[in-house]
Order: sequence, then structure tokens, then C-alpha cells
Amino acid sequence: MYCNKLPEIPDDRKKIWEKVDNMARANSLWVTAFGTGCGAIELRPLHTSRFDMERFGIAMRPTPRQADVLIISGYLAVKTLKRVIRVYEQIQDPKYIIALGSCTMNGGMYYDSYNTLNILDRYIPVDVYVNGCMPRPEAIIDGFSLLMKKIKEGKAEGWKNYIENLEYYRENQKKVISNWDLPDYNW
Amino acid sequence: MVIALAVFLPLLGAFISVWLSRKKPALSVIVSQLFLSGGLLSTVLLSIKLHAWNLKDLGNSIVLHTGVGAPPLSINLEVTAGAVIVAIVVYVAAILGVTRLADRNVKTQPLLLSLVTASLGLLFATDLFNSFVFLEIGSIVTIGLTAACKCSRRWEVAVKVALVSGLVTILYLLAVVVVYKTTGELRLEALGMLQGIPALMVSALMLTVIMTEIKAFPMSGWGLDFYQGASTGIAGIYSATWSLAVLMWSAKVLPMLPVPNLEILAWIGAGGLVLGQLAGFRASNPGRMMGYSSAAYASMLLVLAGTTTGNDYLQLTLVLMVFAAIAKFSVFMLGNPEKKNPWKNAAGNLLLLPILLIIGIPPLPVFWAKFRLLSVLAGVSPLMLAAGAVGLFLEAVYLLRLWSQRSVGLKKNGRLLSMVASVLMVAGAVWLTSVSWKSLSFSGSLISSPTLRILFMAIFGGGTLLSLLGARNRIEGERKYWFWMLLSGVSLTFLPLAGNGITFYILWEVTAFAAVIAVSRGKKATTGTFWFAVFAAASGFLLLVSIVLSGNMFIAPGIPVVLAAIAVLFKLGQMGTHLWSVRAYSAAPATMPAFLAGTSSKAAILLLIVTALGTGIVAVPAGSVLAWAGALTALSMAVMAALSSDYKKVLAYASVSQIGYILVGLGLASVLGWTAAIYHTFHHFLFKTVLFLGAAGVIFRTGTSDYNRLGGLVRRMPLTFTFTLISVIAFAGVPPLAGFGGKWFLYNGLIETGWLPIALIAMFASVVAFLYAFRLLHAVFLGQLSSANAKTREAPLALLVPQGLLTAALMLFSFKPTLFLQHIVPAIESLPGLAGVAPIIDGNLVTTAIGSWNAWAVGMMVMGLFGFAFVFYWLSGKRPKHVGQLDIGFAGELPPSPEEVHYAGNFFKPYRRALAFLPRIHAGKLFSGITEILKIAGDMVRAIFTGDARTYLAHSLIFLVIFFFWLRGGI
Amino acid sequence: MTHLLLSITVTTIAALAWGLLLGGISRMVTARIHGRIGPRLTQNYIDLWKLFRKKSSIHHGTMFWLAPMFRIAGGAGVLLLVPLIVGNTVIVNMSFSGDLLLVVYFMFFGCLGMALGAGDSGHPYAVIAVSRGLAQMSSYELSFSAVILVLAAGLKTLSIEEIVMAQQDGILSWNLFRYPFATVAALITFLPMQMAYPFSIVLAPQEIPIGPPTEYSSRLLSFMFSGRALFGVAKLVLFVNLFFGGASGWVSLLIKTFLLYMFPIFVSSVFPRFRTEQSIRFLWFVPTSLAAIDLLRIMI
Repeated sequence: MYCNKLPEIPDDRKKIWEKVDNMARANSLWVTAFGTGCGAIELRPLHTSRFDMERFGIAMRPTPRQADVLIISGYLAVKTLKRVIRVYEQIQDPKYIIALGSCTMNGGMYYDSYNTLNILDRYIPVDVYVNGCMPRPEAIIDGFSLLMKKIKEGKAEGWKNYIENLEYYRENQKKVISNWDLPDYNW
Repeated sequence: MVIALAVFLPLLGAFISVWLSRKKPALSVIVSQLFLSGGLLSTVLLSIKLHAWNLKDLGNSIVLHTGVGAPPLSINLEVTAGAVIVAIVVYVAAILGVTRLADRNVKTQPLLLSLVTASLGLLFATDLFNSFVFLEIGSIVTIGLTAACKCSRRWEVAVKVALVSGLVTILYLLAVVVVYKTTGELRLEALGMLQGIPALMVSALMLTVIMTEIKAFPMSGWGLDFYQGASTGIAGIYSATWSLAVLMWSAKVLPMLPVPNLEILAWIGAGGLVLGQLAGFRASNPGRMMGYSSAAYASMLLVLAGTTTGNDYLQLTLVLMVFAAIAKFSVFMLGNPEKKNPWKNAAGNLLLLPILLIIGIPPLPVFWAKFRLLSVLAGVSPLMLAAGAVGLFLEAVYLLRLWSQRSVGLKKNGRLLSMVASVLMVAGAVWLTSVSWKSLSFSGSLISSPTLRILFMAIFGGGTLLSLLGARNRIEGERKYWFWMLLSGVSLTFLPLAGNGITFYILWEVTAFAAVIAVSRGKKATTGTFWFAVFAAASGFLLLVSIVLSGNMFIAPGIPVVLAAIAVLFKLGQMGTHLWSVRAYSAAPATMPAFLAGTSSKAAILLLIVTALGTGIVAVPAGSVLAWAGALTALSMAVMAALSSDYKKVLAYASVSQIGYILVGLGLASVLGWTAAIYHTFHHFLFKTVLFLGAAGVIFRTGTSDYNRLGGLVRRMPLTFTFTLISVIAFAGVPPLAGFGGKWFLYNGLIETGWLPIALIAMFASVVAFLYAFRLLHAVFLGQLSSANAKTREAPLALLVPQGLLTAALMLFSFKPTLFLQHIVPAIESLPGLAGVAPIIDGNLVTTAIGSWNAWAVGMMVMGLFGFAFVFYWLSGKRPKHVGQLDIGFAGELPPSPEEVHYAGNFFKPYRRALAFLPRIHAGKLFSGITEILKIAGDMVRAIFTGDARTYLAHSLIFLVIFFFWLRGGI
Repeated sequence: MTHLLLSITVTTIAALAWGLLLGGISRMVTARIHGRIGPRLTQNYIDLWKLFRKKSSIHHGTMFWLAPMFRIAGGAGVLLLVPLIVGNTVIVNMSFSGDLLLVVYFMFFGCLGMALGAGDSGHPYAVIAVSRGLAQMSSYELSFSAVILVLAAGLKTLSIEEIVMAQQDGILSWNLFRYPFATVAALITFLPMQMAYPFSIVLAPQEIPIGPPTEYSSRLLSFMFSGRALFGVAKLVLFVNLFFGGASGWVSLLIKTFLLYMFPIFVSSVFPRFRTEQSIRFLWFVPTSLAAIDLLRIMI
């Protein structure tokens, strides 16, 4: 019922194309519509005429299959982590993660909660952190431009890191998720 | 000497067996058998001597005087050729009956033997008093037999028989007295010498006696109670011996009655036929059904007596009565008298033959008589023809219900006896077919174009063969049916060759009823079979009446065309009558629907073509009725198909819907329309057969046809899916596949003729077709593979090979339709009477007055574009990774199970909602409404059968009085 | 033959470019109506390239990854079957091989492929969208059939070429003025054809994530996009040919298709979405009644 193959790291020999591709990727960021925490409320204004993220080529996609970016919008509960893993792994390479708010860095105001993950980097590879509680839309746009810059430079390679160190991430993930029932890799 | 042996051997046997039965019952049975066999032998000898079997001169006779004086003091016997045949049947029935009774430990052989003697005596009797003697013996023995049987109601029945016999005796003696007083003679012929009031008195008395004795409506009450109450063994023996003899004796007497105009008898009979069968419509007890059927035959006897004379009369009565008696005997022998419902476990197949025979399905013997009977009635009056057809149809309905309600399993001896009777019936079929062979014609003159003939024969023959291939694969609970499919297919294949009405009708009916039997072999086929059978019977009767009215040359203009058209609609299961096809297809075993929908339904198209050709192409108003019917059917059935969630049902609805287009095409009565119709007929055969065979494979492997339990089978049955996919694209009419051609011709024709509203409906229907087309593919093959089917294998080869062949043909004709069209278009053009301009075929390009179509170019373009996109994709990067079926973006969740994410049930819910403003018209309600009306009418009629013997006596007396004053012309 | 292949290649590539550009323009226009700035004009090209160059992709079965090919063959096929420029003998493509009926029925080819791919993806939402889409398609095809009958019976021809030729006597000979009701009906059916609001029940991202292509990703999705762009242009050209006098040259083709393309964009920007059954009923009755007026005019 599930595909049990593990992902492979693609070879990037065609360097010339890669530059063009990165330009395209940076200017066409499609975001999975998945609000993991309270920060999702700050994403809405981005659609509006005031902030208008579409001018950067950023669009929301309702399905992970067609998205490039996953936004962890605020504190991440253990229960949500499982869904985040599945959604993230269903996004096709190359893919990026933007983490919003203090909670994703150190737990923020929930740092001592029994079910909030304090350091997100241990569980999934974050490309860009946006500070604040909550970060304002301007800050989020700033985060996006940082991500775009990284992509253009070819440095946004969290996804490659994830594939290479899948065992490490899995170990950490399984440590916090007691009822682990996901397949080896969520295609 | 031989005659004497024939008549009196049983009597002698009776005495001996009485003597023996006290001490050695077993021996007594053997002795009885010996005596009866002796009698049988002597009657067979007599029949050969009289040349009875060619039916040419049934009045041929030998006379025997016994004793000293002239009648009435001695017994004088006249053995006619007809009577001898009856006598043989009586003997056979008696021999079988003895075995039966012995098996049940009923020590009634002496009575039975006496009954045989009485029967033969009555058959051969030449004067009134001798007849009286034998009538008395017979009645008394019947009472005895009834009382001796081991059933709870025996006394009640015996008393009724006794009371009625008593009344009959009184009336009969009165008549005899009048005859003797007036003429001084007692010969049967003396009846004819009467004049004036005595003649009227004797007529009324004798007719009352005869009708009471033969259980004609309205005096059939006691007979109904008898058949219901007596044990099945006794009833069976009675019906094939004494009852048969009385019928034949009545047949002898009726024409001699001094009635001013014998046609009166026919009207009484025809009225009795309708009313009696109406009363029987609601019968539920099998014995009672047989009683009603018996009344039908009695009525037919009256009708015959009033309308035919000479050898015709003898032949018809003989065939009708003898074979009906054998059939009834066979039915009764299958019943188990020890059971509360004796027929509960009767074997369906053995039960079927006699029932089909009684209904009069060709080539079973009774058919020949019924066909001639209806022909005669058509000559007398249309009203009488209508009465006859309606009565016979009502009879068919309740008899078919009797058959379809049976279940399987049977005691051994009953089966043996019934098999002997079946052999007799089959022999009768062969005998009568050989006698009437000359009236058949296989010249093929009904369809003037040999191309069309060959096309239809190819469809029928090919379809049968391909459907047969898969018939080996049956799911659990289905029984073998290949023989019936073959029989149906063979007669179907010869259908285009029929040269006259009767030949066409025979092939048509054999096709239909062989298919009915094949369908009945399905797992839960009861209701489906019943509906199928009833509609097949209805369409058969309509066609029969239509042919009879047209005088056996094919369908004449006027009412016959209308009747034939209704027959076609019934056969096709068009809107309103689609109930049967949907039910039968979903009930039928494995590949049977493929045969029915793909192949057999084209017979109706053939009939339409034949009708149109025979009447010089349907005039435009009639054609527009046809076209409207076709278009509305196409639309409504497409919607039904889209909203239905059973694989077979959807295909059935789809099939009906597709045939709607063919009707529209034929209704156009133009070259383009007919080209569309023939084109679509052929391609419908190709893709519908593939679809149903594919369905057969799926159902065979998964055991279900419910959409909700299928899905994802593309992973397990890729070949079946491929074939189904191609067929679905074809019937949806998407270019470049073949289905488009039919629609293209059709719309061209419709626009040419200017029938725009019909064109609009047809176009809309063809789009609605996408709904069920996709739903079918999705629910069965795409979506999630359920865990139950996870290990399903590909369909068996026997189903795949025909699908492969047909799909290959479909592809060929998709890209090169001109291969087909270049033969068909000239053939259609050559038919007389078609309007419009023929399409021009130039290489691959087909042009009409308004449009053009180049299938080859379109096909190449699509293949080219598709191929280019494919190759480009293949070369432009890595292959995508194949993931598991539950690896779907499900909002971050793991889908709970394949079944829960397979969306198949209630698929077009919005469509259903959008349709909610329509009143819910349900075709079933129409038919249940008709059924209700018939039931109420039947209840009103059958209220006269109170079950009280005094009522029955009153019936006879009231009839006597009314009839007397009617004859006298007033009080 | 070489000429034909060349012409086909040029037409397809040009139509793809035009279709994507129109898509970009439509996103800009929508944004301006919303009071936003909107994406770049070339955004659709960038998106397409990005999708095409994604590094991994998945498929659910043969039909799943054949569906985009169906889509492209369907889109390009319709385009090639329709004559582009009046009287142009250089680029005729395949328009000699069939008439209006062929084109209309061939339009289903791509849809069917798409539906099959959606079905094979095993995603319930994809199939719900297909069920909605088919239901809606069958509804607007009723009025569209009526429109086709008006044209075919009114002009006594089914050949698109002849339908265009009949509109060459000045602007008043356009079918827009000859059969105004039918044209309005056709324009209404054009909205669901372009999946515009209020009929956008198929790609309803808020209810059923993006509908049929919900499982498509990467290169397969880019094929899907290209097919859709081609198909869009094909429909525009067909409508221009049927109602707006065809195109006398390349410029007029571009202008007419552009203007026609704007129509669903404007309607789309200001309407909410129908429920499925509302959409079906609306399409059954309103445009069909309009087309029926012209149909009756022809019959009487």
C-alpha cells in the first residue's frame, strides 16, 4: 500500500542549467497550505492587496505535491510533527522549509511544555527561520526574500541534507513520536 | 379385434389387479403394466393402420360392432385416426401413472385401469348412450381416485366432483331423452337432425354438459378446486387420461350441436378465454394455475369448434389438447404430493419445457396449432384475435411465474416420468415441424440487400461464438448455460435468412426463450428471469399477431406495423420497458449479458429494418415517433446509467441508451440516418460485447458487480482494463475511435432532415454518456484497489481472447472506417424508399452535403501528437517514481484504508440533486399499475369461484338458462 | 508532408507561448481588479520551467502518467483541427480532416485523459472534482450543442471554414449579430469551459485541493499546464471562428483571442462560486433557453 523505497540524492552535474533552474525556483515559490500553529494567522495578510506576495511569484498550493515551500507557522506540537513529516516528505525535490516565530527556534513561551518541540532543526531541515512572536507579514516577506537569495546562490539545500541524514532525523523523530506508524519514507 | 383389445384390455387388467392387489401388490403393478402395454401396442398398430401420423386425414376410421343388436343396446366403437393418437397418449400416461402410484403405495391400479377403459370408450363412442355409460364410469372412477389419494382435502374434492358429475348426468340424460323422443335415434349424428325448440333445448343442455365437463369458463370452478386439492399424481394422471378423453369427445360432439350458428361457440370461448385467464392472473397455487390453463384450453376448444371445420378442426384440436395434456401431466408429475407446496422443489428445467409448450413457444408442438388458431381468428374478427392473444398472454404470464418461482432439487421418479413426457414433447416438436416444414422459407427475401444480410449474420454468428468462448467461466452458484446460448445464437444467425413471417417468428421466439433459459441459470435469477420471460412472451405475442394480421408475408402497413414496433421496443427494452433488460442482465450468468446486449438485441434492429423495408420505409410521421422515442430513451437511460452503481446494470442501461441512437437513425428514413444506424449497430456490437465480457471477467474474479466493492483493478487486470478503456472511449464517441462515426452520420442526417430538437436531445445524451463512461472506468478499474481484491488475477484467457479480437477490429474500423463504409453505403443506397443524399467516400475522406470527416487523418494526428508528447517526456528527464496506492496527499494523514478513500458510491450526487425538480417517473410503477389493474379485474372475475360446490352447480344451471333464452332470442 | 509538420510545430509552439502569456496577463488583470500589483508577465513561463526542472516526481500508475500526454494531444489536436486565419493556405494544419462536430467531440479527448489520470491517482478529491466536472460539462454541452445546431442548420454547413467564410461581409455578418442569442449562450458556456467563477467547481482549491491534478507534481504537472494552455488557445480560436468573424490575419487573431480571453477573467473576478447543482441547473436552463430562441427562429 505504501512505497517503501528510500529517496536518492540527485546528481547535479549539469551546472549551467542549475543556475537557470535556481532562478526559476526562486521566482516561483509555491507554498503548501498548512498552518501548523498560531502563526498561520499572519500568512493571510500576505494575499491581500497590502502585502501581495504574488508579485514575488509566491502562490499557495492546496496540495504538497505541487508545492516547494512548507511553512512551519509557529510552535510545533509532537502530534503535528507527524503530519508535518508526512507533508514535507510528500513535497517533491527541491523543497524548502521556512519556520516562523520563536517557538520554532527554542520553544518560545512554550519552552517547558510537555508536547512542544523546542529545536525544530533536529526533526526537519529548516532553511530559513523568521524571528518574532508572531513575526509580522513584513518579516515573513523578508524571510521569503532570504530564502530566494539562498536558492539563487544554490545554498538552500536542506532537502539534500534531509535525504543524506535521514537516519539521524528519523531517530530524533521516533524519539518524540511514541506511536510511530509512518512508512519508511512518505512518498 | 385390435380395437377391442385396445379398449377392454385395461378393464380385464383391472379385474385381475383387484384380485391380486390383496395378496401381492408388487405383482399387481406388473400385471397392470403388462395389460396397459398390450393396449398401447394395439393402439400403436391401429395408428399405423390408419395413417394417423401425417395428420392429413384425421377423420379416417374403422368401425367395430360388438354384441348382438344395434346401439344403444350394444357398444359400437368408431376408431378415428385422431382418436387413436389420443389413445396412445392415454396409455402412455396410464403406464407412467401406475408407476407413480405404485411408488406412493396407493393401491389404486384397478381404478386407474378402469379410467383408461372409460377414456378409450368415450374416445371411440359413436352414440349418445354409449357415451353416457363411459362418462358415468369415468366420473365414478375419478371420484374414487380422488378419494383414495393421500391428501388432506381429498373428501372435499371428491364431493365436489361427485356433485358436479351428478348434475351433468341429469342434464345429459335430459338431452338424451329429448333427442330420442324427437328423432328416435341415439347416434351422435342425431343431434344434427333436431329442429326448433328441441334443438335449442338440446343445444343448451349439451353445451352446459360439455362446458362443465371440460371445465370451460365460467364452469371451471370445480376443476380449479380439483387440480388444487387432489394429489399431484392423481391430478396428472387425470389430466392426461380422462380429462383429455372428455376434451376429445367434446371436440367430436361440439360441431354436431344443433346451434343455429356455430360461431356463437367461438364467442363464448373467446370471452371465456379472456375472463378465465384474467381470473387466473393472480393464481398462486401451481395446481390451480394448471386448472386455469386447463380452462384456457377448454375455451380454445370452443373457439375452434366455432370457427374451423373438417380436417383443420381435427388437426388443431388434436395437437392442442394432446400436447397440452402431456405437458400438464409432466408438470404434475414434478410436484411432490407429500409437501404442503408440492412444487417447492420442482426441477426448473424439466418444469420449463411443459410450460413453454403450454404457452406455445415454437417449435414446440402447440405453437403450430396456436399459430393456425390465431390466423383463423384473424379471419373471423379482429376482436376475437385480440381476445385470443390477450387470453393466451395472460396464461403465459402466470405460467412463467410458476416456473420462475421454482427452486432446484427433485425426487428421482418424478424426474424420470417427467423426462419421458419431455421426450414425448420433443418428439412432438420434431414430428410437427417435419409435417409443417414446407411452410418455412429461408430465402432471405425479407432483407433485399445481401450486404446487410451478411453483416447481420456476421454479427450474430460472430457474437455467439465469441460469447460462447467465455461461457465456461462461471462464478459460484451459476449453472451451465452454454447449450442454451448456442441454441439462441444459432437460431439468431439464421434470422436474416428468414423468408416469411412464420419462419422469422419461429427463429425469433427460439432465440428469445433459449436466452430466457440461459438467463435463468444465473445465481439469483428468479425475478430477472420472470421479467425477461414475460417481456419476451409479450413481444412474441405482439409479433405473432402482427404477422398473423399481415397474412404471414411480412408485416403489412397499419396496425401490424404498430404492433411490430411495440414488439421491437419490448425486445430492445427501450425506455419504459427497460426494466426487463436491466434486471435480466444483472441476473444473468457471466457472459450471457454480452450475448444479450451485444448480439441478441440486434435482432430487434433487424426486425425494424425488415418492417421498414416490408412497408416501403416508414413514412416520416411514424419515423419521427420512432426517432423521438429513440432520443428520449438515449437520454433518460444515460442518466439512469450515470446514477446507477452496479457494473452490469450500468452496462445494461448504457446498452439501452446506445440503441436509442440506432432508433433515431432508422426513424430518419434517409440514407444518412440508416448509415448511422447500421454503422452504430455494428460498432455497438463490437464495443458492447467487449464491455460485457470485461465485466464478466471482473465479476468472475471478484465475485461482485457492486461499484463500492470494486476499484483499482487496473493494477490486477491490465488487459481487461485496456480493452474496456478502448471500448468506453469508442462508445463515448470521442474521436479518433469508432463511436464518433455513428454520431457524426446521425447528426449530419438529423441536420439534413431538419429535426433539430431530436438532434439536441441526442447530442445531450451523448454527453451524458461521458458520465457513466468515466464512472465505470473509475469505479471498477481506477481509484483504490480494495484489500479484498488485492490478490485478484487477470481475467481468464477465454474471456480475454474474444475481447482482444473485437478490440482489434474496433481499432481497425476506427482508423479505417471506410473499409466498412464502402460496402455499407452502396447497400443502403440501393434500398428502396430512402430519402436524402448518400455520403461520398473518397479514399479516407467521407463527405456529406454539410460536413466532412477523415478518420485516418485524425487518427494519425492524435497518434502523432500523443507519441511526440510521450517521447518528449521519456527523453526529458528521469522516470517518475511509482508509489503505493495510499501514498496520496491526504492532509498529512495516513488514509485509513483503501475502501475509505475510494470514491465510487453516490458518484454524481450533485446531478441527482440538480434533477430533483423532476417528478419521479418510475417505469416500474407503470407496469405495477397495469399489474394492479389486472389483479383487481382478476379478483372481480374470480370472485365467482367461491369454493362452494353449490355455486358451481349454480353456474352450470344459470349458464343453461341464459344460453337457452339467448338461443331462443328472448324470454 | 515536411511543410505540414513544420506548420504544426510552429503553430503548437506559438500557441503554447500565447496561451501561457495570456495566463500571465490574466493573473495580472485579476490582481489589478483586487487592487494588488500581481505577478510578472512572465510568471507562467517561470512556473512552467520550475515544474519542468523539479528533481523528483512520483506517479500512481500507467494511466496517471499517460494522462498529461492525453491532455497535450487533446489540446494541440483541437488547435490543429481549427483553421486559424481566413483563407490562409500556408498554415492549414489538420483543419481539412474534419468539421465542427469532430472538433466538438475531440474536445472531450483531453478531458477524458485528465479524468483517467485523476482516477488513477487514487485520491478521492481528484475524483470528486472529476465527477463535478463531468456533471457540469454534460450540462453546458446541452446549450453548446444547441448553439452548434443553430450554426449548422442556419448556415447549412458544419465545416468551420465555411462558417468563417459566411461571416466575411462586414461586421454585421458575424454570427455574433446574426445569431445574438446563440452567441450569448455560447459565451455563457465559455465560462465553465474556462473554469471561471461562478462555475469553477472543478478546480475549487478551497474545497477539493485543486481538483483533478491534485496528485500531479513536477514534470507531469508541467505537461498538464502546457496542455491546458494549448487547449485554452484552441477554444479561443474556435470561438473567434464561430462567432466573431474569424481572423483575417495574425494581428487580428491575437487581438480577438485576447479580448475574448478577458471576458471570463472579468466575470471570474467578481463572482463567488455556485454549488455544483446550482451550476448544473443554471447551465441547463439559462443558456439553453437563449440558444433555443435562435434555434426556433431557424426552424420556423
